[in-house]
Amino acid sequence: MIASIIVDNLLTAPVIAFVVAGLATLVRADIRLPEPLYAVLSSYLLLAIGIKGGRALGLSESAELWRPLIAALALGIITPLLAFALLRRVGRLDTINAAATAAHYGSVSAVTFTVALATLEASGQSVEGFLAGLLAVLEVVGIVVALALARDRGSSDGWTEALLEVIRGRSITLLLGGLVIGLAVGDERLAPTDPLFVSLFTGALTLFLVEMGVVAAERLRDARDAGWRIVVLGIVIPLANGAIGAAAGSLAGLSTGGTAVLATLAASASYIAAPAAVRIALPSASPGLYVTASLGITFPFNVILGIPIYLAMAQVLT
Amino acid sequence: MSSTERQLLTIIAEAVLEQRLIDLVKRLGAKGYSIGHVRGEGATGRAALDFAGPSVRLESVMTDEVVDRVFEALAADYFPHFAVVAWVVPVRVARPERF
Repeated sequence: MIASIIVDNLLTAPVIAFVVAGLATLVRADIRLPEPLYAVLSSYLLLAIGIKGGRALGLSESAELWRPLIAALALGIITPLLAFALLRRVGRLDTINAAATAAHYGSVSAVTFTVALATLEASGQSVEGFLAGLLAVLEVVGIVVALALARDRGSSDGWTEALLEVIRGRSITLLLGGLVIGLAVGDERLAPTDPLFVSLFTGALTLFLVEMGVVAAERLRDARDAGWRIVVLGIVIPLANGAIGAAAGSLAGLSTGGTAVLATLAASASYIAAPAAVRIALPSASPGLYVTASLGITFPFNVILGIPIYLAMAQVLT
Repeated sequence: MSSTERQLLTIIAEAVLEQRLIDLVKRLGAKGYSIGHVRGEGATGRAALDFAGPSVRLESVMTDEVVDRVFEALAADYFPHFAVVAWVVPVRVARPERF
């Protein structure tokens, strides 16, 4: 079953674009898109996910929301703690580096989330729209929990500043802005914007993943310096967190698609909000470790193999 | 027109510090600044978060006292852990009260 889901996932345009760009970069071929496109596409994708989520939020009953919200909050606490424990014990990292890296695993990757949505849509699975709102919750909570682990050691003076950085950062603001737009305007009145925010979405995601393939492959080259323990944990942590996310999703009563997406969120590692926050709050932690783990290892693993595995977990549990 | 000596401070730093450095030089007495975005490599290689955006070049013309305060702050808070370089060159300006 997993093999066929993996093939279905692989044969979507965004994932193939990611693989092609990654391979091209590894052989030092230049496939990089013009730089301003990165900023335009990431803003577009976040806004589009937000609008989609806000629109679905307007159509759902508030009674359906509280259990998934509690599940997301619980995941935001459990996933960084588990990552921290593994990074300390198995990864043999010191407290500061373990907390810095755990912040990335506690937080989430909006791009991984988006690829999961596109994959599920392609395979005909419906997904609860309000999950985009949970994305915003998880993005912040995981970072807070992990930074709190390091704060005990008195090393993070920039901690409130780092949190404000995340909350006021472009990714959360665009996502929440999109949610408000989607919720306020409503399903029917949003129809005129569909050609831009719905029809072009997968195409834009494909373009974006070309850029991500380049960036991830560049980070993969640094994996040797990070050590094999980090490489192994970059795969083990998302699998463990993904399993917990799938369990949480089914307990919260989500559909199979929704459970797969929540599992993907739990498994994903942030590489935009968390690095910026951690850089400020824990400047002595090594970016070579946490960026390599989240962007060089976990992100490609999730996009290529992880998402189908989380979908299989969801199918077993729901 | 007569000219007066001031110092031109240039700081090149990783992208994540942009707003912090602006706040820093203004708080310590700089009256203005310019920001540019640049790429490159330093003694420790490229900035670790270079995918987050190009590095920042902050330029500001200031008095000797402000330069000293900025260098002290950089040495205390930024040089140890961040990709930051800074240097000063003397310049001559008209209208010194603007700097």
